[in-house]
Amino acid sequence: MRVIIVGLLATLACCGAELAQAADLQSSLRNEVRLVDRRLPDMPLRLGDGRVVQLSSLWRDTPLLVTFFYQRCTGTCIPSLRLIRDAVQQVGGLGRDYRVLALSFDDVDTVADMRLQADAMELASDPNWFFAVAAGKNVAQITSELDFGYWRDPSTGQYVHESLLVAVDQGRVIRALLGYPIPLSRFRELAWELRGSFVPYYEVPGERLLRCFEFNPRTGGFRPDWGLLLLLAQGVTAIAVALTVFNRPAR
Amino acid sequence: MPTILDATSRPLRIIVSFVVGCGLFFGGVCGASAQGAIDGRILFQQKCSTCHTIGGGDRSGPDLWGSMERHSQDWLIRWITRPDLMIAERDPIAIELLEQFKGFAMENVGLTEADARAVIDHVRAETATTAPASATQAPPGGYPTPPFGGVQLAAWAVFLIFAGAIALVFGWVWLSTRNPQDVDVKRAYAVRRTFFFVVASLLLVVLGATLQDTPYAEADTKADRIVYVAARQFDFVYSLEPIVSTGDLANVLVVKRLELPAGATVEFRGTSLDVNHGFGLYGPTRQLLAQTQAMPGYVNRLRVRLDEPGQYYVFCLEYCATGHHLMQSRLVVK
Amino acid sequence: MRKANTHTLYWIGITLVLFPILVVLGIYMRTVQFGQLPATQSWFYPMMTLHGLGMVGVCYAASMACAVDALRRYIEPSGAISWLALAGTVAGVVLLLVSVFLGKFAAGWYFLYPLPMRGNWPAWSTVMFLSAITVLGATWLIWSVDMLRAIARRYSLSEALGWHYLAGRTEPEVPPLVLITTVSLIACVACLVAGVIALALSFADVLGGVRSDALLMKNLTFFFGHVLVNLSMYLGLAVTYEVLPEYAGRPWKANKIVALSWNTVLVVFLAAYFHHLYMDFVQPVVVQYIGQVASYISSIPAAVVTLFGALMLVYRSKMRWNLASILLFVGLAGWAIGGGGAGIDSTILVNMKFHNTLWVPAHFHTYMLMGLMLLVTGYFYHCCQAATELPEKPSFHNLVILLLMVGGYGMLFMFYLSGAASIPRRFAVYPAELAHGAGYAGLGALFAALFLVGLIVFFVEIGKRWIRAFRVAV
Repeated sequence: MRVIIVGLLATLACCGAELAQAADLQSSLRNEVRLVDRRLPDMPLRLGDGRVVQLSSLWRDTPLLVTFFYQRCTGTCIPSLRLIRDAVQQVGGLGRDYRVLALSFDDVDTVADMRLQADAMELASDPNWFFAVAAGKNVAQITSELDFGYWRDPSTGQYVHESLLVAVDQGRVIRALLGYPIPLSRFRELAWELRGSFVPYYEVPGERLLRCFEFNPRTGGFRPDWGLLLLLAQGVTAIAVALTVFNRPAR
Repeated sequence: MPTILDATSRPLRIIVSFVVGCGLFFGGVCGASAQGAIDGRILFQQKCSTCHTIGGGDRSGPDLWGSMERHSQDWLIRWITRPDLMIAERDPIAIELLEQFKGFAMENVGLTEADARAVIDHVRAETATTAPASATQAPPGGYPTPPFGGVQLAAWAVFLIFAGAIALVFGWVWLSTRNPQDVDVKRAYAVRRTFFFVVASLLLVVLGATLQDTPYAEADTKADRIVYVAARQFDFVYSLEPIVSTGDLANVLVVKRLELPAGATVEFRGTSLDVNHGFGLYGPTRQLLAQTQAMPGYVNRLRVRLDEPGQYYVFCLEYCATGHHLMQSRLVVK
Repeated sequence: MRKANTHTLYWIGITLVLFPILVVLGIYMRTVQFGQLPATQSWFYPMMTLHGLGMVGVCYAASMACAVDALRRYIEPSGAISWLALAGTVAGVVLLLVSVFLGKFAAGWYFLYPLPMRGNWPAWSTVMFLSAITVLGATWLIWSVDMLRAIARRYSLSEALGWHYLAGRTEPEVPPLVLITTVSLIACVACLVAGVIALALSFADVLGGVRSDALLMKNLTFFFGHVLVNLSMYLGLAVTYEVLPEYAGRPWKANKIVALSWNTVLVVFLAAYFHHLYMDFVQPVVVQYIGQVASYISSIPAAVVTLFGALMLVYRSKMRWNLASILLFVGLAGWAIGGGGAGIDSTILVNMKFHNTLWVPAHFHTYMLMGLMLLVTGYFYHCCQAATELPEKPSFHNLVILLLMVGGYGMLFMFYLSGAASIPRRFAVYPAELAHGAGYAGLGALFAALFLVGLIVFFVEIGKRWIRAFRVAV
C-alpha cells in the first residue's frame, strides 16, 4: 500500500513538475514575444574603464546583447552573468557577431563597481564586454521600455527582479530571453541568428540510420555525412554493371 | 517579481511541483479550475487540433466553436473518451457526423474522463472569447475566379507561344510531305548550326536572368519577422519559438491568429512533425506567392515580403495522405 | 508480312488492357475534383496512387517492350528473361492491386518517405505495396541487365555508346536504337539501384522501426522516379529513330552529333533530378543551380539533334502516313511541347509558383500521354499492321487522331490553366478559396473522356490486328 501511495505521489509530483515548467515557460514566452520589435532609447553610459559612450554606438557595428544586473546582488545577477559569459565562450562569435552590455539598474552602483565586476569575471580586458552605469532616469526609461521590473526589499536592501537578456539590432529588440537560468539551447540559437547563420537541422527521435548532413549542435558547424555516399552508390553501381557486362570480346 | 516557481533550490522545486501536482489532480477531479484550463488547452493542442479548430472552420472534423452547447455533457464525455465504441454502437449523432465527414471517423486518442472535461472546458472558454468561423468563411456565391498575374502570367504566355510554335512547325513539316522533294542535307545542317546557337544563347540569357533571383535565404541577411511553422497531418501550427516535436506544442506559445505587418520581410521557418508537407502561401488574390517544403528533421526558411495587406491563405502543397486537401490555414497582413 | 514476336504481342495485350483502365481512373479523379461522385471520395487517393504507379509502370514496360522488339533485328535477348519480365510484371501488378483495392493504400506512386508508414491504411497494405515495387524493380533490373548483356554480345561498350563516332570514325555502323537503348539501360540500372536503396530503408522502417533521414530518402526517391520516367521516354524515342525512317523512306543514322548528344544526355539528365527538390531549401544552393543548369542543357540535344533530326527526316519526304507514322509524328510534337512545359517549371524562379500545382501533371502528361504513349502505341500498331497487313482506312484513322488530339490537348489545356491559376495537384476536393479548380477539372474530365473514346476506337482497330497476329504467332 505504501509503495502505491509513494508511487502515486511521485507520479503526481512529476506531472506537476512538467506542467509547472510548461506553465512557467509559457508565461515567460508570452512576455518575450511582447518585447520583440521594441525600440530602445539612446542614452549616455559610463563604462567600467571610465569612458562615456552613447548606447547607440555599441550597436552600430554589431548587434548588442543587453542584460541588467546590480553589483551587490546576492541572488541570480552574478550567476546569470557568469552563465552568459560561459555560453558566449562556448558558442563563440563575440565581437564579430555581437557584443555584450551588462547595465546596472542600482543607482548606488558606480563606475568603480563596474570595473570591480569586470575584474571579478575576468572580462576587464575584453573589448566586447561592457559593464556600465547610467543616469537614474535613463535606467528607468530603458527598463520600463523592456518591462523589466525590479523592486527593493527594505528589510534586506536587495532587489527582487527578473533575469532578462535581449538581443538588439540597430536599436530594435529582435529576440528576448527571460528567466533564470537562461536556457543554453535557446541562447545558442539566438547567437547563430545574430551570426546570420542558421542550422536547418534537428534530430528526429529514433532516427539512427545514415543522414545527409551531420551537425555539431554546440557550434552550429555542419558537414556532409555518410548518407550522401548512398546518392553516389547508384551511379557507381551502374558504371560497374556496365563495365562488367561489356567486359568481353565484342562480336 | 520572481515567481515561486523560479526558486533555484532543488528541494523547494520538488515541493512546489508536488503541491502544484496535487492541486492539478484535485482540480481535475473537482471539475473546472484555473489549472484545468491550461491542461485542456495543452490536451486540445496535442490530441484534438489535428482535426478540429475552435472558430477556424471545419477540418477533417467539425469546427468545435459552440459545439459544447449543442450536446449534453455526458454525451460529449463519452464521445471524446470512447468514440470507437459509440460508432460501433451506431449512436445516431455519431453516425450522422461520420456521414457528414466522409471517411473520417473520430479516433480514440486515449483521453480519460477528466481529460475530456478539461477539453470541454477549454472549448467552452475559447468559444466565449473568440469569433465564430463564419467570419472567415467563403462569401455567399463563392470566391470570384482570381486574375492571373506576375510570374504565372509570364510563364503561361511563354508556354502558349512555345506550344503554338511547335504546333506550327510540325504542321508545316506535315504539309510539306505533300510535295516530296530531295532535301539539301548540307543546307539543313547549316540551319541546324544556326538553330543550335540560337537555342543555346537563348537558354544562356534566360539562365543568367533567372538564376540571380532565387528564393533561397542569403547569408548575412535578416528578416524583419520570424514565424515558426510546424506542419502535421493535417494542419499548420504557427509559433514564435521552434516546434520540432509534438511534445513542444505544450511548451511553446502557439499563435492562433497570425497577423503580420504589411511591407515586412517575413521568414517562415517550416518543418514537419510527421510526413513531408508543403507550405504554400497564397496572396489575397488566391494566387501562389511563394512556397517551401516542410520536412521532418529539417527546417526550411522561406523569406517573403508581404506588401499587400489582406487575407493570405496557406495550403499544403505536398501530398500527405487522406486529409491533404483539408490542410489549410490563414494569416492576415495589416 | 513480318511475323510478330510472341513476347511483344503479350506486352501489347497487357498494355491494351491496362492503359484504358488507368485512363478511366484519371477521368474518375478529375470527376471527383469536379465535385461529382462524392460518395466515392475516400477512393480518390488510393486511385491516384494506382493511376500514377500503373501509368509509370505501363510506360516503362511498354517502351521497354518496344525497344526490345526493335532491337531483335540486331541482338538476341534471352528467352527465359523475357518470360521472367512478363511474369514478374504481372505479379507486381497483382500485388499492387491487392494493396490498393483491399488495403486502400494511398501514399502516391513515389511513396515519399515516411508517408507509407504514416497514413491511415493498414501496415500490411504498405508491406504489400513495397513488395509490389520490389518485385517490379527486381524484375526490371534483371531485364535491363540482360538487355545490356545481349547488346554486349555484339558491341563493345565504346561502340554501343558511339564513342568511335566521337573519335571521328564511322565504322562500325551502330544504329541510334542501340546507342539510345544502351544509354537508357545504364541509367535504368542506376535508377533501379536508387529504388532498391529507398525500398530497403522503407522496409527497415515498416518492419524494423528504424527511421531514415527524410531528405536522403527524398533524393533517392526522386532520382529513381525522375530517371525512370525520362528513360522510358528515351526508349520511346529510340524506337522512333528505328521506325520513322521506314515510313519516310530516308535513312536516320547515328553520327558524331547524334552520339555526342546522347552521351551528353546520359550525364546531364541524371543531374537534372535536383529540379524536383528546388523547394527543399535545405539542399545546398549549388545543387539547386546545378539542377536548373542541367535541366536547361538537357533540352539542347533534345531540340537540336533529335527533334530537328526527326523534322528533317520527314520534311518534304515521300512520307507514308498511316496510324503508326502519324502517332509517332504527333508523339514527337507532344514530347516537345511537354518538354517546354517542363523547362519552364525547371526554372527555380518559376518553380516557386508552379511546384506541386497542376502545372506538374500538365507537363508530364504532355510528354508521357501525348508523347511517349503515342510513340509506343504507334510502334505497337506498326508491329501488328506489319504482321497482318489488313487494309487501312485513312479517313477513319484521321478521325481517331482528331479525337485523340482534341481530347488530349483539351484535357492538358485545363491542367496548364489550373497550374497557372495556382491550383494544387493531388487535391481530392478543392477548398472554397480554390473552387475555380473544380470547373477546370470538369472540363478536363470531358476532354479526357473524348480522348478515351478515340483511344477505344484506336484499340479496336489495333486489337483486330493483334488477335490475328497472335493467332499466327502462338
